Amino acid sequence: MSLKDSQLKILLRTILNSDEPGTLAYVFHRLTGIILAGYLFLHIWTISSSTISPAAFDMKLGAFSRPLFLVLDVALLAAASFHALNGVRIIFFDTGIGIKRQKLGFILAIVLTVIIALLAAKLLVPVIFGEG
Amino acid sequence: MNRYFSTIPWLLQRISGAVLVVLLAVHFWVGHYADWGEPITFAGVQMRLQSTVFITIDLILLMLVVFHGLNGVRNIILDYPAFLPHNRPISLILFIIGIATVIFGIYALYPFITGGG
Ligand code: HEM
Ligand code: HEM
Repeated sequence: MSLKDSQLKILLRTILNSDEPGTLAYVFHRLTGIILAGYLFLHIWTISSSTISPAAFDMKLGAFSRPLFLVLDVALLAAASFHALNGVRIIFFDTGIGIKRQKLGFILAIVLTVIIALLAAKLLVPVIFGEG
Repeated sequence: MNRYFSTIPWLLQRISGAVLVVLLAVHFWVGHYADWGEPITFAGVQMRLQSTVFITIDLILLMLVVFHGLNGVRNIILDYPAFLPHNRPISLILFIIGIATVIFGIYALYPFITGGG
């Protein structure tokens, strides 16, 4: 636990202290972009079970409603949220808006992503522990 | 450099990104956060896709996200100087993958629109 704490601290300090949070934002943006693109192909392939039969579709999508996949859904939502928020941040700077507030923008993107993921997780908990 | 990175893909990447913010938010929400834990079923999706609005949203989402994702992948690949001289075949392959994905995506949605089977 203390190891985890100190790692978290180092990460936070890196974000807060660097003059250039851009590198971290860039790495996260690229990583989440690749994750989303990979997901996209799996996703369309899953949906395509509709072409076999409605029952095949229901069976496949039913398998993806198991708790493990619901947890992965939250992770996916977090990746999409960060990529979207940071993407908007990039578009703003490209248009000349808020160029002097880049670090604030990055921190905002991280904070909002965490809030969105927590809200989704809060919806998720009763589903996993409720009806099973 | 400019031969490889014209402003048009750059601009389209931003425009598609901006539109995707809205479309993906809607998609995540109706996708299943609106009623958590309810399994996604053929009948449910079919009912939603009776509406031209949702068909249109799905098709625009499909095309934009395929463009945005693959153009993003192209940017990443061409970030490596070793791949720069192969810009043309790389772009062509990604373009073909994109067209094939969109066609396959429409094919996958077709049963919902026509009623299945
Ligand atoms: C939700 C709204 C989205 C917004 C606002 C957005 C915005 C952006 C922007 C502005 C860039 C260019 C970054 C740069 O030039 O430094 C970008 C890159 C990228 N995006 Fe998105 N995007 C979104 C969704 C998606 C989705 C759904 C995918 C996956 C299919 C995706 C995949 C990528 C990839 C792979 C890159 C390239 C990353 C890189 O060059 O490092 N994006 N995005
Ligand atoms: C957990 C989150 C998600 C769920 C539950 C979900 C669910 C679905 C469902 C049920 C469909 C069938 C059509 C419809 O209902 O309108 C669909 C289609 C689609 N989704 Fe998602 N989705 C999710 C996330 C995403 C993400 C992150 C992306 C983008 C990378 C995406 C892109 C698409 C596309 C492009 C289609 C059209 C597919 C086709 O034309 O075959 N979805 N999604």
